[in-house]
Amino acid sequence: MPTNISDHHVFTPRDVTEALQFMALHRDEGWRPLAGGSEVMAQIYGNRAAATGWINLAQLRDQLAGIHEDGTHEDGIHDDGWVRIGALTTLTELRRSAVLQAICPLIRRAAAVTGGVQRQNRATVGGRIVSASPAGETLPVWLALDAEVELSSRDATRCVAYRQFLQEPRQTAIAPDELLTAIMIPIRDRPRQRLLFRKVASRAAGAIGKMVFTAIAGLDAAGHYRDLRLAFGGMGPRPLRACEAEQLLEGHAPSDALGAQAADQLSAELTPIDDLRSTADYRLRTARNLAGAFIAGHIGEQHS
Amino acid sequence: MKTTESALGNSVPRREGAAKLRGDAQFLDDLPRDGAWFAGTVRANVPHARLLGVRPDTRFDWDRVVLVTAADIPGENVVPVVLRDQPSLAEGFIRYHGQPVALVAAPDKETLALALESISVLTSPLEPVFDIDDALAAKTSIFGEDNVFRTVEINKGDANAALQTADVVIEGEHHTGAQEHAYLEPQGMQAEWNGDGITIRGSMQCPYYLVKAVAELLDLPQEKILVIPNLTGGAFGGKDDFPTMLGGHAALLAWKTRKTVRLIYERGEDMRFTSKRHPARIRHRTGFTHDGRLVGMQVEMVLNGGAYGTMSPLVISRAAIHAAGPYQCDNIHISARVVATNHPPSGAFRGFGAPQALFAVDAHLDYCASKLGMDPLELRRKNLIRRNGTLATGQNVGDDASAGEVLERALRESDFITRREAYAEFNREADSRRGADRFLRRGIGLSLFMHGTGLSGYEEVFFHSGVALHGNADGSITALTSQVEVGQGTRTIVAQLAAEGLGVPVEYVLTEQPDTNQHPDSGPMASRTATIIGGLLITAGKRFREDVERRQGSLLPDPLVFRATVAKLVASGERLEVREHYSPPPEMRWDEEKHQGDAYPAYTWSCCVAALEVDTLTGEAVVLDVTAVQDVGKVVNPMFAAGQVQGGVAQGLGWALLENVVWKNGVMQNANLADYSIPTAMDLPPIHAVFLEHPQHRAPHGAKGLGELPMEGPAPAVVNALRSALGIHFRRVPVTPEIILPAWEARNLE
Repeated sequence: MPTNISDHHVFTPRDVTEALQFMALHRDEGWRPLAGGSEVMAQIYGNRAAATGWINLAQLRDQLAGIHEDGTHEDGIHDDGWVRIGALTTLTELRRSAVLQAICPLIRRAAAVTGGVQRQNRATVGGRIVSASPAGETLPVWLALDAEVELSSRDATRCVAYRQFLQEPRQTAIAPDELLTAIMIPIRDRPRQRLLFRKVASRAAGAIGKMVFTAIAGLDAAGHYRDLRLAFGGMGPRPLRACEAEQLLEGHAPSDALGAQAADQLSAELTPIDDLRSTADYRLRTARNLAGAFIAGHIGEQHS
Repeated sequence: MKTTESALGNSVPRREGAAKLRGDAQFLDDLPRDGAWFAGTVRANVPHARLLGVRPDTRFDWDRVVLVTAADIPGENVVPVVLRDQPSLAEGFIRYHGQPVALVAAPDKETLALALESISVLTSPLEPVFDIDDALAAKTSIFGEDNVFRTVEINKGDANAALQTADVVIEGEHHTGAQEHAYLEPQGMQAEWNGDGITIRGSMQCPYYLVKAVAELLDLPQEKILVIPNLTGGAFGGKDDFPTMLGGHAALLAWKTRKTVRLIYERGEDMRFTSKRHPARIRHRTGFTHDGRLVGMQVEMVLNGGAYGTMSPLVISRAAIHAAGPYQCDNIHISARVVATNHPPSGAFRGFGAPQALFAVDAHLDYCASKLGMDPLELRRKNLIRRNGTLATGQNVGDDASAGEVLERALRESDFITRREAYAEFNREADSRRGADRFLRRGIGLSLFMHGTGLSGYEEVFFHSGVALHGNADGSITALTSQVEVGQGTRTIVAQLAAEGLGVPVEYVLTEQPDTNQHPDSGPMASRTATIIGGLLITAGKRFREDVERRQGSLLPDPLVFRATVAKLVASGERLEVREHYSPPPEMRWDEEKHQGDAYPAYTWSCCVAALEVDTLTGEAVVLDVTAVQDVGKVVNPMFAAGQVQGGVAQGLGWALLENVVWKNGVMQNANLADYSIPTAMDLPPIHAVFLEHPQHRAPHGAKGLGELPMEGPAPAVVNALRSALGIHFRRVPVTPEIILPAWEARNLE
């Protein structure tokens, strides 16, 4: 029988400090943060939400929403060259950010095909990262961008490479008293790039993806691949980078033969499954085709 | 003096539209609860079993709730639809996973949830069958000796002999999937014990079904059962037969608790355990002369009816009658069966068996054209039914023969020929293009079809629909029908039709949500409101006016004077009421046994064109635009008519491309609206609706049925467009990317 948020305990901290104090005090009691609710409300309705109660982050937007080009890590390890995206930034705000569009248009594309417009107005960057859905649209983009996540607790703040942060399916490296406060995107000198984002889903909006593929290909003066990143969602137990394929293709020039080679490497590297939304066979065919066409140079947009 | 302009043909605004827009419209769950108890259903958790009993956990205090099992039923334990094979609550056997075994009512949700968790269903498993062939092989017994709910055979000429002498014989097998109605408002009923009878409110199409069903179930006289349909949030046939079961459940609980009980399904429960469109397998053997003239058709169709008969015996009739499509052929044999399996019962769904039949015949026809080396347009022109042509049942269509006209009009409206050539050129040059376009293929296809107006054959006679008009003290006139507003605009259309007969402005006619005490039985179902009921309303309106004018002793062409006269007559104590009942046109002949004769009073003819683009990297097909041309006889309300076409095309595109019910052991696995994808606004192409108005002579205003027809065109048009884009003939809907992509890659390896 469906339940409602009003049947649950909710604590609404006034600021980040109060939230972290509460999380430290109730560290192992099963409280979970509630941001936009786009995942949590569905879990609550379906009686799938295992939580003692919810820490409602609604009043923390002043501190935790926003996109800052000169963003620095709280721990001061990096002092420049990063864009800081507050964890409570909504997907609609990602879509509309001129800063992010200039740095990497893939972010906007991923945000624009997550759920529907209503969900994009509620869903937050941090919520998507912590819920860690294997098919989450924005997650492969963070992987491809070598992003880091900032985790805060009452006593410390730490940064973790997003690749390390993702662990088992739907599990992350976050501790029970930690709040994800930001995601950090490195800004680097970029040569010529070719980019691609594709979500393959049953319909144009409001569907969980069958698979997600995103790619960033640097090209050197000779037109050879440099710093190639190929990231997938829905092709394994968690979003992943096809590291072996990236290494194999690095330094080669785009061609149909190279595209075919990429496709074959991906067959060995990816482990999709059959589920309600699609089949392993179909997912692998699309991954091969999209990555092959991208590596061959047929699809993708130029960005510089 | 002013006279009234016709109420027909105007986009009169929806009467309950403003309340719906403002969110003021009260659906069942919005009604004040007033102490109504909460109710839930104890369900079987196996698809096929002997039912040994239910075991309530003794740790739960059962005095807090009321429990109903089959043993409590005072009357007959049956859901009376057609075959009377379905029990209201399981007794002896479980035939599908989720079958209701017991009911619980409780004063609050928490107690109800606890009670439902505290009861187990004891079963001894039997072998289930889910597949049509296994059911036909009678691997396990579900219904009768052969698991066949009904067989319908139609013969015209000698198909066997014709196929033996045909120049070319082409075979094809097509499959269609289940489809969820996905009405906005889930199923729900409230029943109230009122001392010596039951009042039922809820989400439904057909209140009179419930009166009879509940009377039988509770062993009460029918006059003790009052059914008041609530404003209903969508139906599509899903609120036709299913509420007969649900209303019975609510009534049983009200009867036993002596209270008001509200039983509303949650979305997942609704999707898993209520009816779906019948899945189908349809085989064609079709004979042609060398130059493409149809000489013989054999159609063998099997529908998967699920565990109980529900509407299946009627669905299979409509499926069979439409199985040869709008094509002239002198030798036809149609064999149509609907079989029992351990799926939840299939039921009424917009189209009622015709969509499956029409998909197969029109997809097959394009396939035949390719085998014959002919243009599919030429093949259709050569064989479509023309004036005085005869359908499979032998029915002479007379002047009601617009197949050719809708085809030619659709070709023009969609610029079919030019675009087909342009797309072929686009596809030929694909490999020479750079960029993402090199992976795209485009195609355009069409379907030609018809839908019989009203109920099939004798059903309309048995149904004996009635309407009534009565005059009010203020001179307004109330139109009484049981046409429930389920979102189709029926309250507004009923007023328009009555106003047309009365010759008064539409505002003079009052329409209410019906109840079974005051409103005569009239439906709604089967695309009948505008045509059959409309005809009765117009006739009743004319008789009402004649009655008023006779009493007044003069003609009253001025509507204001007419209104004042009605008011005066009512004030003087005169009773102004006119009733009208349907009787079939005397020249119509129908042999139900042989399925021969005049199956329907009229046919709505239609041609649907779909253009699409396939990304061959992913197999995703995006529909670019749809053109739907239909001869509806008369458009009663242009806005509603266009809405029916757009909604129907959307539902048809969903069935064609997206809507895939994933079954496991007889249970729908993707029973939510995220994983079961119906099209959203972002998936829908521009839909161009064109109406032809050749009046049919069996209704005073000439209107024919429209409600179901528009969903029937897209599936065959899409499959034919895919053939045009990819050169591959797909034989199954939904034709998902999981089917398209491997087929494309296999073809390119050849």
